Amino acid sequence: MSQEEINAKAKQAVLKYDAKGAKEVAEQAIAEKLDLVAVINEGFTAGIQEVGELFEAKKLYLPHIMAAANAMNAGVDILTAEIGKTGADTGEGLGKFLICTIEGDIHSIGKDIVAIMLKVAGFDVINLGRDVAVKDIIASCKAEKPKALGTSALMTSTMINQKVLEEMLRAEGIRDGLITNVGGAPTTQQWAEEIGADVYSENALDCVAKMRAAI
Amino acid sequence: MNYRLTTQLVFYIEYSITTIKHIEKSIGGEIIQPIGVKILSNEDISRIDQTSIRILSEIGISVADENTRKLLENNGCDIVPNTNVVRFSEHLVRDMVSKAPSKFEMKSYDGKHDLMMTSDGSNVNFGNLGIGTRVCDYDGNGHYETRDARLDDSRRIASVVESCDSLGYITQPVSAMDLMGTECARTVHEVEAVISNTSKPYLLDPVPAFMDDYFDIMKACYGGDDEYSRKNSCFLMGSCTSSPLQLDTPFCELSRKSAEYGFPFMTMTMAMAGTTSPMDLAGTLAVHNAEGLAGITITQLYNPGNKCLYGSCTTGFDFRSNTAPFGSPENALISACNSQLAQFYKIPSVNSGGICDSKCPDFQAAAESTLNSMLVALSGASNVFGSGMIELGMTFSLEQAVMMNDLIPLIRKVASGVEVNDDTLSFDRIKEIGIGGDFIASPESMTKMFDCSNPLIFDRNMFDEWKSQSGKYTIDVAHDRVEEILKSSQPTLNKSAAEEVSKIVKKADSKVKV
Repeated sequence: MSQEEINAKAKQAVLKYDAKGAKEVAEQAIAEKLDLVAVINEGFTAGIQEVGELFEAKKLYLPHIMAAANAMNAGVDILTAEIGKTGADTGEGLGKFLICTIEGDIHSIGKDIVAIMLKVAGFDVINLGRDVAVKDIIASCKAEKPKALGTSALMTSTMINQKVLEEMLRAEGIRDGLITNVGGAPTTQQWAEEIGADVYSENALDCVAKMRAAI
Repeated sequence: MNYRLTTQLVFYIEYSITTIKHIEKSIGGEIIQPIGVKILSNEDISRIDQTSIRILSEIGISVADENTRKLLENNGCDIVPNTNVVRFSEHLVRDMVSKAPSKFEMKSYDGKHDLMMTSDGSNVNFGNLGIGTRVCDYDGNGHYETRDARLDDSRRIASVVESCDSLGYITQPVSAMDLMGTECARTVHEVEAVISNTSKPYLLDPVPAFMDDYFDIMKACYGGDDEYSRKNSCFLMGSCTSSPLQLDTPFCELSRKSAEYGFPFMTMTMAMAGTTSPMDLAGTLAVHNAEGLAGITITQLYNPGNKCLYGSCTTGFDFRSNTAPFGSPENALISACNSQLAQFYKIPSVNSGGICDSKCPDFQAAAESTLNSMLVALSGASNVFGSGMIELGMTFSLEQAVMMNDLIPLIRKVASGVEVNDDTLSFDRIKEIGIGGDFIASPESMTKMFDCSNPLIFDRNMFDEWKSQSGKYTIDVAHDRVEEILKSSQPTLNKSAAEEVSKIVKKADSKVKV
């Protein structure tokens, strides 16, 4: 199968929310020694971008974009593992975006939706998970050197750790050049300003729009 | 889905047995309602119960706290190796749930606002919902402004709730965003602000680190009597599950500490159908119920017989706005079903109702609040939880609370139904008055007119009379009432208790280092 045909098949797998099909395309591309970076960029990513446009136009909704993202990830995970073996460069797009739910808070779905939307928008998203200790976020920032760092808090009792994080980033001397973003139900623009975060996001689309602008 | 909406003259004592009861008064002055609305059939309830038990025993619940996991393991539950997942034993769940009191009296610290929490649908209390982060101010001239909540809002809201006779208890209404990030024990300050201005039973927004301080404050309200405080809590504690199927460490700690101090403890689920629970409401009810039963089991293990509340803020999800609305019919249905499930388990319930998604107290607010508070009240929830809260539970409006206070007696009137007997059928009076007569001066009209609904804020005059009396629209009348309450309100806590509470707050502050 030609490169173009595989790319188109990868795109279709995403558009049809077909995780099994996405895996098969990825495995086929590896078996046929095709350009795997092209399968990601012109196949899976092209598919998710189309779904993203339909989502923004309110022609598709959250279940569809999450299902499309699951299909994309199923294929991309296989390809990136293979690419890692060869050392090829997949590119960084809009740059690395570290995201997690703040220490003490195990809520994750909102943060995961934001992570997906950022990925669709072209960020290289590293999702650290939930209830991530501030010291671990600092360590990840040092190791990954992201362009942006987003934290979510769903409880008034845990949002205080977003402030602790801001202070620790400054104390560690890694705050400059990093765009910090806070979100989650109890957070507000005023809270972001008070703790010195760069961006407050009300929801996933708001986050994408503001972070695109900030970058 | 098998929704059967049947209005009956029933009063749930045993769930499967219906008994007609006459209207009577109970402690707290709430009217026992003879009308019940059933969304679920007995078979539906049984299937949800069985599915929840399967979820608990086959899938399990992630319990973050190690001590609680050990407690569950020591009582016959299985821990999935190398995980926090606990697979509950059905026998344990049934046994523990049966130990939770089916009714209890919720005290107010001055004895003026004691309430009954019942599980048979006989006694419906209304309260405000928490915990928002914003307040919608109305300026009395048609303009609204929504801003971040401050500590002072807890004082103002507590004063208004104290004056609203239909609001039986207060929930911590908003977080003091002005204290967020400062070096103080924010929630302890919030408790002081609330209890200084209302003595009504109080559902806190507790943080495990300050449970001792909350108890000390309650004890101070009771004049320092430790034993009495433990047996007669006027504070309710609660914590939310993290759907799907997770209990975090604060939940477990709050449950344990509540058991230690005798605080009634509410397990509150907050699943969103289609996102953190199944899209189908039946599946969402099964997940919610599994989480609720797990929470109650844990509280009962920590203290068998501890007062418990079966709570739900579980609602649907709107994929068009990507929000979890509370003014929706899905929320009304879920809450009403949860009233029935709580009745099945014989545990008093707290169900969201009276809350809305509008951004100010407008038509949308009125329509949504009426829709869900009415259905949830008629379903026999022990507590209808929502008055005053707008914007999907994020913003509090004092005017909305005051208008809900007017709406609630109207709902109670609907719930009281129509009494049919020889006396009320009035044949003799109809014969006496005869064709073309009037009943205005009849003895029944003279006396029973006082039983008719009588809203304080809603206006029933014709236009000219309304215009000549005030000419004010409902929102402005509500605003006047809010202003009047705030101007005339007095602290409810006596001076010596207030001084003691102030010392406890300072002590709590000294423990905080941001």
